[in-house]
Amino acid sequence: MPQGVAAANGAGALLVARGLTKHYGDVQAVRGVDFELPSNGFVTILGPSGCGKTTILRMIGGFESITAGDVTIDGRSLAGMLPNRRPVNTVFQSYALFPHLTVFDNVAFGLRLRRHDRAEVRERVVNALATVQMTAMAMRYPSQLSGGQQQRVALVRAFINEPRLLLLDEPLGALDLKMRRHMQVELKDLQRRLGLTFLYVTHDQEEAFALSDWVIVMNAGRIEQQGPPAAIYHAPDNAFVADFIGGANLVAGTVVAASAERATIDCPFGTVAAAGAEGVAVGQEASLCVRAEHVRIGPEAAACPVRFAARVRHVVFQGNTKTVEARVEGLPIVARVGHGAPVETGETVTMGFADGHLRIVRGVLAPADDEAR
Amino acid sequence: MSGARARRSIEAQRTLARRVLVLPTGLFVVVTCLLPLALLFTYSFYRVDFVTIIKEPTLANYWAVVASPTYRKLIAKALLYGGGIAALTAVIAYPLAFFIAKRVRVYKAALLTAMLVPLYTGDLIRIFAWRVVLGAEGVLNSFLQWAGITSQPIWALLFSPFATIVVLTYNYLPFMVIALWASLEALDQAYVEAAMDLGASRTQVFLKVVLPLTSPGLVAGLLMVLVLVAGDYLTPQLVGGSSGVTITSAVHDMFGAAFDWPLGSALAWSLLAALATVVAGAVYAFARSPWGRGLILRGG
Repeated sequence: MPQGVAAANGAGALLVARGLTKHYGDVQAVRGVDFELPSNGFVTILGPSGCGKTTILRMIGGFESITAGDVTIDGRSLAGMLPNRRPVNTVFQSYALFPHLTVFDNVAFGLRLRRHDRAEVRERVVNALATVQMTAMAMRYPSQLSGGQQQRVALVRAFINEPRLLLLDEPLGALDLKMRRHMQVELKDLQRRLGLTFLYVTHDQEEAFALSDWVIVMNAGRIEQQGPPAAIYHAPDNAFVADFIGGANLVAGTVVAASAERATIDCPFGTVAAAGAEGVAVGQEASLCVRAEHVRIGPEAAACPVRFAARVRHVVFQGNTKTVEARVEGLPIVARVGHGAPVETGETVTMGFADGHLRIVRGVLAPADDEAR
Repeated sequence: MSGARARRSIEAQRTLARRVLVLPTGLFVVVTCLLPLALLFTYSFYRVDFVTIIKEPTLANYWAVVASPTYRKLIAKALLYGGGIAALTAVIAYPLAFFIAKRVRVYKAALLTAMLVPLYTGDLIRIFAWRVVLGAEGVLNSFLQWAGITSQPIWALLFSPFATIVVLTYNYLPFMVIALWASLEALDQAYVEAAMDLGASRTQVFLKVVLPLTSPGLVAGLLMVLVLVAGDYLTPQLVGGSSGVTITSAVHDMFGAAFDWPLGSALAWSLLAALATVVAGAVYAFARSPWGRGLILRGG
């Protein structure tokens, strides 16, 4: 976990956002978010499209004005500071490589503006291009490069200026899956080597988890939850996060008992006691959350505290595992089981939720959240 | 095998269709544009004996053009005015085009149309309107005297190179604005943001990113205005006073009063050659420049 992020008062943090808000006329794109970035770490803002994540990045970069709240870097407010004066650089979603300049000139753009002498510019550009194996392409124009190569040039062009913070707006969005995987490794590696802070924006939770030390999950202009990837995955706070991250099974119900760590929910599967997320209170609507890999089928379900008969609608082969989509009294349940599990489409099987993996989270899934996915 | 043949046949049909479709346009260009020019070209090698055109090939006309300091000067003047006015319109048009392309949202079409409205009124009306503005008894002089800035009308406002420059700039500004507007409209805001992000001030953003990326539009606008100004003889004649003689008016005289079509043709072709050289040179230089190479590779 990155240092600083945990510091609630913002001491030791590189960037502090407090009540950050953006309105476009009547549209509230960002509704008062608070977060901090450490001085060395990989932080991702994760959320569906239109959740306000790119707007936050653009406010930090200086391309959107801040409606309310404030962002500080090293204690200095960014409000009213022109983009060219901010100690941040951006890797744009479209890369925005200047088409009239060669790779070399693109990368040298920022250094030349700062009036470094020719020899120094040359040396630094060559070294920076070498870190991403692009030296041979220095004299090419952007249109002569592949998507992955353009991506690397955009990255180098930004970090060569030694910003305090590198902003990355879905930089891998335009690449094919294989290239994405490859670039993810390179990005993470680069962040470690450079030792600076990356603020990364994506809607791809797999990517967010693969890269980040800290994930900020956003929805409809608000932060739903933030924390290390494992905590977000295993201990979601609310129904949106549980659903958006890995698509958990969510069974709506009402909380009938709650203590510090435990809660009991009254739901279609009966009254179930399980680990409770923070803020779960008696009388509230809540959801019983169980990951697909924690749903058992057939004999394996025997030991489960929650058991039921369900009708199998689809079995999807996925190599080592298969995903079983079943229905019990109109309620969809998804299970991920080993490829050898004896289950066929159309059967009625006994299913169960494995003990110790149940969690009661705040709220129920709104239809709108479903669409946002 | 048969697949390859079928493919070839489809290719052949497409090629044929393309040729057939191009035919009317091609024919139109040949008949209305190339043929008269070719005729003019032929005439430029004839000579005149009193009132008859003698159709024996000679280079005498071209020699007359080259040997005459007056004609040389007039051709140079046409290019100078063309280049100068083109540059002037570019300076005025950039902010205007930028405003329309990047700041106006709702009234974009209305503004562009409004800018073109003067073009609907016709050359003569616009020129005479300027005579009303710039004349000794005109709007501007009356105002200056009324305001007490001058005690007598400034005669040089009209019938001077100044008047010619003002009216030509006014006349051809819309062409430059449209050319620049189109390329500014196509300019992705992300490039501007990227430049600012990398530390460029507003001036640097313009010089290092906006100007190069809109340079195809700028070159198109410059060449268009250059050619139009070089061929404009009404404006200098009507507001230029004694400075109003142009190469085009000389050509006009040769075909009219002087009845020397061959010399007129040679003059016209000399101007055409001079313009073609400048245009080709400009396009070549642009294409060879580092900016141009990048933009052409992109297909911009």
